[in-house]
Amino acid sequence: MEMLQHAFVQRAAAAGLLVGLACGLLGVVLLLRRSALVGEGLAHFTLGCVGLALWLGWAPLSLALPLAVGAALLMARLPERGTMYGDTAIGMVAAVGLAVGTALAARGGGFRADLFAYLFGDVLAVSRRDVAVAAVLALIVAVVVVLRRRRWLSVAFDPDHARVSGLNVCRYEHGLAVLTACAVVIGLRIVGSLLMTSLLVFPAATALLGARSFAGALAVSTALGALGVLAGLALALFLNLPAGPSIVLVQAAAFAIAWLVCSPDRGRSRASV
Amino acid sequence: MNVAPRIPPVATRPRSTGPTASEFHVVCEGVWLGYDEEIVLRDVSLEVLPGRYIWLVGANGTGKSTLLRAIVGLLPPRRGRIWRGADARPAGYVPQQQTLDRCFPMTTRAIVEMGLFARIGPWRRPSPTRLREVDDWLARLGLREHAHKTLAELSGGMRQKTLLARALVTGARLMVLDEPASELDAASAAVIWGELKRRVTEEHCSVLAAHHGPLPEPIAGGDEWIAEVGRGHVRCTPRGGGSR
Repeated sequence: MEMLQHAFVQRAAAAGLLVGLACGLLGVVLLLRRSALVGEGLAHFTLGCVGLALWLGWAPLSLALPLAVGAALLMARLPERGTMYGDTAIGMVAAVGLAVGTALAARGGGFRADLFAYLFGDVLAVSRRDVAVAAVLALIVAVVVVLRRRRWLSVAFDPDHARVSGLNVCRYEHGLAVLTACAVVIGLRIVGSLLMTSLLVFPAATALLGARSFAGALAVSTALGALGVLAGLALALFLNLPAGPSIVLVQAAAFAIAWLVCSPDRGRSRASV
Repeated sequence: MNVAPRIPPVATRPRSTGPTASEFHVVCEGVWLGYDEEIVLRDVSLEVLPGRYIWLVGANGTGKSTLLRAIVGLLPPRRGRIWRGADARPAGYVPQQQTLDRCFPMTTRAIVEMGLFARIGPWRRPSPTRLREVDDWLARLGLREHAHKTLAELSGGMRQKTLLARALVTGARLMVLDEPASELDAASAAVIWGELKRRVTEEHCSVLAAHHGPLPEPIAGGDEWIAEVGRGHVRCTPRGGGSR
């Protein structure tokens, strides 16, 4: 319990809780839209943005956030012309981001260690400003997803029906991309670029194993996202492990348990009654 | 994903070229439709007037679904224009159910309630009256005891009935149905055809339905047409004779 008195632990816990909440909410929509890899692509791209910011001597998040939002919109818009699949655009944008990051890391000297902190996460480096930014972005994600959950539901379940009903589906897809970019940027400090996808995928995948309603899936995923990050941080502190991998392993264990409990009796694979 | 274009306002359509906005639900004028480089349908002209029932018939892959998708605004025409009538309410659309995610965490009842979004908007909660309509349709189609099952737990016919119920609760003036009875049992098909017939004759709704197999009994004195889709063209004839 002594550890909890340290300011850096409190900051890491606060930021982790906020990131877990935001990723838990977004993950459900992303998985149901079959867009889980958007988070992976944006996390890789954002690493390049951090490399660029460090090379320029700027605050990483201040550059990473607008560039990640731009990349997210690019990923969403490139397939709209029908010239490529969505995962092709994700692969290309992610590759460019990683290339920029590693090229600048090779050219630069002293900031390489900082870049690696964003690659694997570094809870010691979470500042008050990071917590404030995480709070604002998590609040935006929560308000947009929860208040408009029926529209997200309509767009995710049957986009054609949503269009015919008068919803602007593209606006929601672009909005989802932008919100995911925000979540990825605030998650970089905690779990790092390489493990960021786990925050978006594991809580939502676990919640969807047993969910019978969209609202239920959102609630369970959000709770699992937040609790998973806190449990992972606790595990890291007590066993002296890196925070990012600990969080991922906790969330993977939760998924494995839920899968064992839910899978045999679930009706998902049944084609008929 | 392509953006569905907004269908042009009907008020600008010259009166001399045909019925005015209040007199039709959809008019296709010289419409060409296709995907990428391929043109599927050429020079399609079709008038869906209030109280008119149009059966789209033809072999698989001839473009029936393509035409229906264009009419509800999901596919922009390559050439020509599609006009929607003055009643701008969204159409009641039933797609082919293979396009839906069966693992989606949503109960049958919640899916049917989605049909109410077009009437009340996704912000407002449905009134008890509207919810009774949902209950009524679940009961009429034999889905009441399956209301809390997800799509994955339903048979193909039940999934189809769920989508039909969703379209029927929209209260739409125009129903666009893509093979709505392909997996229905005879009793459920009779309920659906009976309700569509009632809406066409009593409420002057219009129905455009792609269909395989024998057509249901004609509507007595009804304005029924058969649109044969094949070889890239659509040929409309009144059901029972004549040509257009």
